[in-house]
Amino acid sequence: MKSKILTKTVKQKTLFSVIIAVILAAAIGIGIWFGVSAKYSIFNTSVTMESQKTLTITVDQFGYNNNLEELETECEKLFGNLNYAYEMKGQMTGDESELVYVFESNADLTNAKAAVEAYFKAATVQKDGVFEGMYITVSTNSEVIKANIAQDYLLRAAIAGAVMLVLAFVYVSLRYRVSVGALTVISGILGGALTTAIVILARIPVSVSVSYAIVVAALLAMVATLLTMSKARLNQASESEMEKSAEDQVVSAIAGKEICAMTVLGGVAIIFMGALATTAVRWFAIVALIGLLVSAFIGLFCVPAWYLPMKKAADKKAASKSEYQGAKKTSKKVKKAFVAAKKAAPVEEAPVEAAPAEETVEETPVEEAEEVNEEVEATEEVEEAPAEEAAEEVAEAVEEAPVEEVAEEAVEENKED
Amino acid sequence: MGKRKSVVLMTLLTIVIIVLTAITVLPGFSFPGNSVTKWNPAIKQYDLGADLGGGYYVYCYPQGVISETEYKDNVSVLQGKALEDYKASYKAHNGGNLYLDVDVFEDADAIKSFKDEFELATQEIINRFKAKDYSDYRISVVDDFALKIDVPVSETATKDGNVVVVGQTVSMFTLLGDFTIKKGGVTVDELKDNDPSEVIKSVSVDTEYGVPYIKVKFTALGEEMLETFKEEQEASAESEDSSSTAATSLDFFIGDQQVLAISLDNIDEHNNAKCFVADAVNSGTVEMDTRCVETRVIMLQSAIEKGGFDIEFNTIFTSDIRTYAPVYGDNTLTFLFIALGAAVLVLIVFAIVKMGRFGWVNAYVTLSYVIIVALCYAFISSGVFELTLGSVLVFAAGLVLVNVLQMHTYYAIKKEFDLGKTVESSVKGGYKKTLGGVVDIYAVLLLCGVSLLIGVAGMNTLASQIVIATVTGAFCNLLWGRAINYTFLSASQNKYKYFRFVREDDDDEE
Repeated sequence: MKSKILTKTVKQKTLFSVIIAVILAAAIGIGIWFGVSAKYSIFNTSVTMESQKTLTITVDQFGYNNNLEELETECEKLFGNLNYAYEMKGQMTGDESELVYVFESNADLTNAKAAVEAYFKAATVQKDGVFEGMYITVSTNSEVIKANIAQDYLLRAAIAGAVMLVLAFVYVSLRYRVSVGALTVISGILGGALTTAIVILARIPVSVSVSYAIVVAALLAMVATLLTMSKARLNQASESEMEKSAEDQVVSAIAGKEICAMTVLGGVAIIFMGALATTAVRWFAIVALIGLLVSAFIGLFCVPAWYLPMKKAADKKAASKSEYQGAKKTSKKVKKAFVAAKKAAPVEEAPVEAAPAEETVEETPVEEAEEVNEEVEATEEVEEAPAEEAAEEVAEAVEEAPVEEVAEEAVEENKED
Repeated sequence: MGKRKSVVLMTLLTIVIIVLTAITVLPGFSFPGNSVTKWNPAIKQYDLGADLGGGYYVYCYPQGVISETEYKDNVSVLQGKALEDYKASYKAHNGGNLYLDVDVFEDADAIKSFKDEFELATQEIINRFKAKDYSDYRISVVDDFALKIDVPVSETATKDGNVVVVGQTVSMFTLLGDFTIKKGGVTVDELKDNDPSEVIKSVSVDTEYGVPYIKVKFTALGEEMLETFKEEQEASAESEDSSSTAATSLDFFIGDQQVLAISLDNIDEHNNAKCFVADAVNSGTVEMDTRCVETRVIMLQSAIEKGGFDIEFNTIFTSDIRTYAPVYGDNTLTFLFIALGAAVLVLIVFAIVKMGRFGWVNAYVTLSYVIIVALCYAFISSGVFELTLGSVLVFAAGLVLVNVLQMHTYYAIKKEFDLGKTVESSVKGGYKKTLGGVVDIYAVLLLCGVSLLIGVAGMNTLASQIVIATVTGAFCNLLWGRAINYTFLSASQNKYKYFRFVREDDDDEE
């Protein structure tokens, strides 16, 4: 059944090309639409990478160490409908520490700040209350991010990516063919591009870690391609494989088991990571899983579909190169054969043989002339036959007739032709 | 290989792998009866990025700016006239998020002038942090007049430890005054009419016998300054007058802060200065480690090339540094290790189920990969890169690839066997046929990893880890796995069962 599916999909290069083009175009469109709007950016960047607002509760060290959970519980109640992106526990070595709630840059913290301040002002003086005697200050800040690592390394990352693709192309082209090198590079580019496109379309929060998952997706796509290409090359050495049609050859070259194993085992590892860790890591794990599935899609379906026409073209070229060229080669071979045979024949006997040969020629019966004509015709026919066979035929003709006569006549006949 | 030899080798291999696995991952514990010495596995040695290890952040306030918390703290302790005066000396900015000293920010022009200078200074601080090559950092402007700086926890891995180093780094990078060289408290003549870059050729990090130091090279003008200094020192040494007041060092200042002192002993025969210690006024000498040296060099280079700014930040104390837990949660790293452990177990079980006793070869190869990569991450890369989520992903991807290629080899051997060859011949043929493909995959990955080293920070880190994982994977698949298979196969009693091969009976025989 697997073979049936792959046999059908291997002919669908246009379909897969269209699917990929649509996804990429949709991602570019959505990205530009979001990017043009001042409120959003092309990527749904994680709050850790954006400008933000913070609400900070500074607490004396004793209260911080002993009542932190209660502080968190009360603050979250007081925020009401205001959702924070994440919290940070900023521990200090001095008299106080702080609890920082991070909000998006467009959040209005006025009411939340007032509510928290009012609550703790009363709670810290309440007798026998949890927060009695604690020193708590509430402050808000607005932060505009000026530098983070993602902004700084984009250009160098892009250059590194380009160099990576060039080196991969050169290596694979040398080991296989230029077309296979191009296919490997395209699969790598599409592995990264498709993963990025899905991240944009699904508005998955982007952080620095997500970019790592995209790079690994590109590498896995190239690995999947190379698995198939190496299998294809191995199959070329097998006669039973070469007898199959081009489609069947490509289908049997698909490294289906290996790619599926890579996807399943990699997926299990990533699911463990996402399932056990926190929400933020889950986004990273989701992107990693998307990258893995994209690589499998490219390796199982797209690469074989695009490889099929390349293979057909390559087979056609190889077949045309192996066709017999014609008389020129034959005549050269004949000449060489005659020269070699002449050199091999003993010199003393040559004149003796020559005379009878000439006499034989002068008195050549019709049969012998016909034989010579046949030989010439044979040489003409040999123009359409493989050169080696022609040489053998001529060599046989040489055995039947004196060397010099046959050679001279053969040459003359070819010249006239 | 004889059976006995194979069994002995297998046993030794098993013991070695178990021991190395324990060294790598066994959870830390204190030795019984010894509360000081503690066992820590290799995976505890990692420098962690902010996403896994957390980090440090600090607010930097220029002089004349204070935080809302500081204002409220002071207001709560002052009373009467003092309180009124205090309140009058500050005005609220941005709804009270910050408070500005009215003497410093007296009018709109002063505020605008400050903001322009502040923007330039911020950019220079950002350039200094960029040069430090963190895997992750973040610099934000807080309410227009302050800075917030986040750095990852790996910055603290020095003998001084924790927040002290972070405090030093932030303090140095926010030092924005003019660069001067003084001798006995007076600026040297060479700098009175010249830029610092006309006296100092370069400042760089170098090492001698593994100890880092700051190396200062001087221009011709700078060398003249050194010669003058040397002559003064020699004259002072020869002088019998005990009240001689010749300066004993050339002091490098940024603003009012002394950052380096060069005495006669620091100057070598090529007129370069070698400074092993950070000589700071009134605080004695502190031997510098590599990170500290790098920080000072970056700061000096920046001050020499770009000059000073009219912004002075308040002194940063260690009590001002906040430590925060990993962005993704306190226990993320633990959970990730558990997840990876579960994944390794699944891979081993899957291989044994799928490939019979050859699956045990896979198990050994898997554990070997885990050990080698984990140890390389911990020790080869010490101080070079930090462990991030990308590292974990690269590790997992390499692990999966090693197993998939082992499977690829197994199927190739099976294919050879199905052609009617003997087991030994099938193994030979299978390995031979898969060699080219496996080499190609690892070669391409290695080229990709090497080229990604062009990237900076996190990408550079990821590239290093890809190279480590690729080289290890190649070793495991191309050499180690074959060697283990050879050993195990030699010891096996039934080679068909070893691979789970079944030779179909010839019907004719029946």
